[in-house]
Amino acid sequence: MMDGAAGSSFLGWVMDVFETARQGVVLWFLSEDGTRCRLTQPFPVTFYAAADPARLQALQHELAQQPIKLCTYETQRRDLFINAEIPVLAIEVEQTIQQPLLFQRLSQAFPDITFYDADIQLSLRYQARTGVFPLAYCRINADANHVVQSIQPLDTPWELDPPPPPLRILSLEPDVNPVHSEPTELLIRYEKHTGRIPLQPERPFIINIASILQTYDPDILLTNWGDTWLIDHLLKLSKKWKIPLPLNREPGRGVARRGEKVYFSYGQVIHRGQQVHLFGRLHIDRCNAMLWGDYGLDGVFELGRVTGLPLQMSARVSPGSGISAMQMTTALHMGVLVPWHKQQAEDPRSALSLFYGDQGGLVYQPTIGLHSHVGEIDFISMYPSVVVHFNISSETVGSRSPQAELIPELGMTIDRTTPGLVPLTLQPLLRKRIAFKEQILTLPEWDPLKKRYKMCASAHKWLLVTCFGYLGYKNARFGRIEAHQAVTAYGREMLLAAKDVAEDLGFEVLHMYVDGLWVRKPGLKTVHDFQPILYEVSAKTGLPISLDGIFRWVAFLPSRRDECIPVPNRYFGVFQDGTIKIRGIEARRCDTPACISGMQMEVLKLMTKAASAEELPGLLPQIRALLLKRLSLIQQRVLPLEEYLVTLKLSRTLEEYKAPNTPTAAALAQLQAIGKSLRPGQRVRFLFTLGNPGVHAWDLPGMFDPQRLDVQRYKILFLRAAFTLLQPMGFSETGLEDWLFGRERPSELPIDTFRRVGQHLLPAFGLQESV
Amino acid sequence: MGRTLPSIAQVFLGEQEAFSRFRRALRRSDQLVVDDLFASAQKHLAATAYAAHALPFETFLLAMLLEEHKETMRLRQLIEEMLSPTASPSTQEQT
Amino acid sequence: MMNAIANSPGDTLELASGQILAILAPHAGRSLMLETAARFALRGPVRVLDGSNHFNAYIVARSIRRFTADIDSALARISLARAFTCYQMEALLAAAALLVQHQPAPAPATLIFDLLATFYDENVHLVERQRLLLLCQRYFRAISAHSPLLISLRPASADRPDQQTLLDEMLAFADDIWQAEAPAAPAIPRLF
Repeated sequence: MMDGAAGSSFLGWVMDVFETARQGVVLWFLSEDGTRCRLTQPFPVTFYAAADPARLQALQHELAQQPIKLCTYETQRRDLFINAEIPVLAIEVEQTIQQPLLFQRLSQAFPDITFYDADIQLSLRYQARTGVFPLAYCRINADANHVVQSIQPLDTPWELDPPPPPLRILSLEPDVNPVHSEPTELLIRYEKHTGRIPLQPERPFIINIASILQTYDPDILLTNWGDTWLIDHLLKLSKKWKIPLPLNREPGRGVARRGEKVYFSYGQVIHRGQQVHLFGRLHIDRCNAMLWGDYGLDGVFELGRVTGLPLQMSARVSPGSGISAMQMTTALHMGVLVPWHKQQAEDPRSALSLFYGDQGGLVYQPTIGLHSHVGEIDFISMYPSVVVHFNISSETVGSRSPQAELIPELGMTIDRTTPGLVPLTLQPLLRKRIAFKEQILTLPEWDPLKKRYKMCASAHKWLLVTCFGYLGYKNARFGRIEAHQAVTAYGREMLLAAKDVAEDLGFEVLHMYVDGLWVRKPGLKTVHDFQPILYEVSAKTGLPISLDGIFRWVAFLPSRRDECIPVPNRYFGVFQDGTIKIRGIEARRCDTPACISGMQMEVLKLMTKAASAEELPGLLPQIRALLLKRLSLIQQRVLPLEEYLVTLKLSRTLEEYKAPNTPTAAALAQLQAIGKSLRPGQRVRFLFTLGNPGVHAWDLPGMFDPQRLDVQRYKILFLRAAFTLLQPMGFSETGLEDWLFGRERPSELPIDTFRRVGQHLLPAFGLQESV
Repeated sequence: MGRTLPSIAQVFLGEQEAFSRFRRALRRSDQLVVDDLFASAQKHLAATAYAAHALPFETFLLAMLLEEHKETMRLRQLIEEMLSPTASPSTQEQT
Repeated sequence: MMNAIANSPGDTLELASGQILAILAPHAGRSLMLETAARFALRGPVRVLDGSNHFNAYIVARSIRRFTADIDSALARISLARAFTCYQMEALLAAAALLVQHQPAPAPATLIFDLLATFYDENVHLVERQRLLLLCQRYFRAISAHSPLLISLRPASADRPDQQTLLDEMLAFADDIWQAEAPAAPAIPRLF
């Protein structure tokens, strides 16, 4: 900290920005010298209103009556959908905190007036005006009253290696999930300290926690189930024993709660618990963070930096909200109005065009069977790349500009010359993700940066995956169905272009799935062999493409119900470096018991020894021995009980299950009987047991006797999973059992693809029917 | 947003379902043949979707025919190979 | 006035300009509306505004095919726009009302599929939804002055008084309401 005559100049990181009662905004700042300081800054907020002059006059009149400091002026701002400047009334509110309430009152009193820039997250406004985002490294000049005189970012969200803030992190974890049973102790970690504090007796426990908070003074409180249980529990104890608990740093603030939510996303029920936010300190709940397992704390920091949302929010929001925030920031930068509601509807088009437009990506049925010499090539982040490359945005699609070109298939135009809001938002994100991926490929395993880059890349992945769906989301403010359709239309054309290139170069296309192709050409073995196809596809489409890997062998599987019907995206294989890739098989599903998926992975590991499909049958004796050993462990009931656990995500409540005898419904009923209710989106765990009702919910109290396990049921699951792996080698389901239990051994094992001659066709043309 | 048109997989199931009465009245052996025909149409769902035909069943018929013809060609080649064991495998029928 | 309609009303419905006709039926009379769209498309231009992803063009194409092999021309005569929120429905109708005054005759028949679906969304304040619905009714008047107009409505959920309020407002507004009869017994009873 450098003290000057006018005040102080600091270098450091902004941890959080929020509204305060009378001083504009508060900045919690982590100075390079380790000081944590609370600074304030006046921060007037402007929003806009559009309507006919008479209504605007009425609005002005109403504004004049308001008991708060504000000023209004007429100006022109750009509306993205009209694609022109429109006259608006600007309303500037002096005290940041008063704007949301004022807007709420006005929107109710003047529902016919269109408001813009009215409900934008403060951190986004702050970033648009100052360039400062969460965890930005910056220089601040403040006066003696800690009022910010100037703030200058020395960092951008697109920095790969930003200066790391020396954050103090306190981790608190209850020993068990409170939804399942009552925790008894708390695992506490900070710096090099690790300890367990029993939750009972309560008074010493809460005194202990308060004293750690006081002395260590963490910047981040990292918890498990902090949102849904721990913080409330601590507050309850603090009140009961009258021990002050300094959860916040900001004086005079309580914790902020947001309600729990259940919603549908991509066909799944998602359950999000209530959220507890702190002031001056950040609370992050690993269990309520969107995809903690994928990206961890590094990913949360990265999300905060690139979306501009406060860290406590970016840790918990859906990727859709992240993308939305980024688009708003772009709009603020471009001087484009951010509408409160999206009113833009679809342009009328011929019903005939629906057949072309209302389609997703192309999903092929693969060529069933076992194959060698196969390479998998993928378009890198295909949809975001398409958005950026073809400049797809709400305002560029349907453009009447003379330079506009036609989108294939859709009969709509697109302006590819003026950069659109959506591509402008995505471009730096896409570039950064590609840079991360390049770094990940080149860095050695031991480099700690590699892990951080991986976390960041997976945080980006979610943002990029969502950005496309978000274009078609009904409430997305800068979304538009036509733009959404344009993305998939270009996507289909690009995949077909890649197919043409592959076939021109003599490849056989075994499978295509939206943005990936599995191509075979005997004799091709090295990455170098695939360079020509990568180059040609990239040249023809203009999109980045990469070789995901070359398979030693790969097996595409048929449907469970009919072995003649191929199923997209259900396969397993081994890359040349020995990496196993699986999709759609049991080991990939989270409801498969660990003893079954463990078996599959172990067999696959054994199968990696085969350098090509032809060598696989040579491994059959070893595979058989392994299967018999694993099966006998399961049947002897000697594995830990967790290995037998089935975990299912609930799609509905107990009352909504039509068949009460399904294992899920039965397990739910058992839990309900002891007063534990689970909501859709949460997971229920159970064991298969003998007798009725055939299940035992895992979270029931008391001991479980392993003799009750229904091992026959696990055997069926086991054989089914084993069949998945061995089917491509020519086994039938009964043939597998005969072979495994020594009843008979298939004399000949057909290798390579199945022919369409379904076995059942032969008797169909049998003599008894011939005329 | 959600889709307005059913996906091609749903359309396929719908078309198959539309013939369930026909199928039910067939001999068991013929039922299996019909299933096989539909299975061959199912192999070309992606192309059928891309075709964007207002009456997709016409495309399904062509896909069935396509698979039938592939099979004919394969069998013809097999027979030709069996009849002239000296012929090189590249001798393909002209169609 | 309330009328009852049979299950194949394509032939029975006669639409005329100047009159606002509403259909109240489960699923907002989806199949009936699709059939009606097909029948109108055989004769001339049709405008469809879809409030709940109801416009299954495959079904319309099959209906058209019963009368003509030239499906594409008939489908091309249907102009379609979809709304996913009540704000979008209001915007679509505003645009249609503006357009209808400047369109050369014959003005297209206008079919509104499941008008209230987007209005039944409780995430928007009821007062706001009522305000938007009132605007929509103004546009209906403007449209029906130039073109036949048919609106399909779905019943309100029993536990949602807000939905009933909106439905009542539409029922009071329409000049003529057709209500679907309870579905008839299956035509061919099966023994097994």
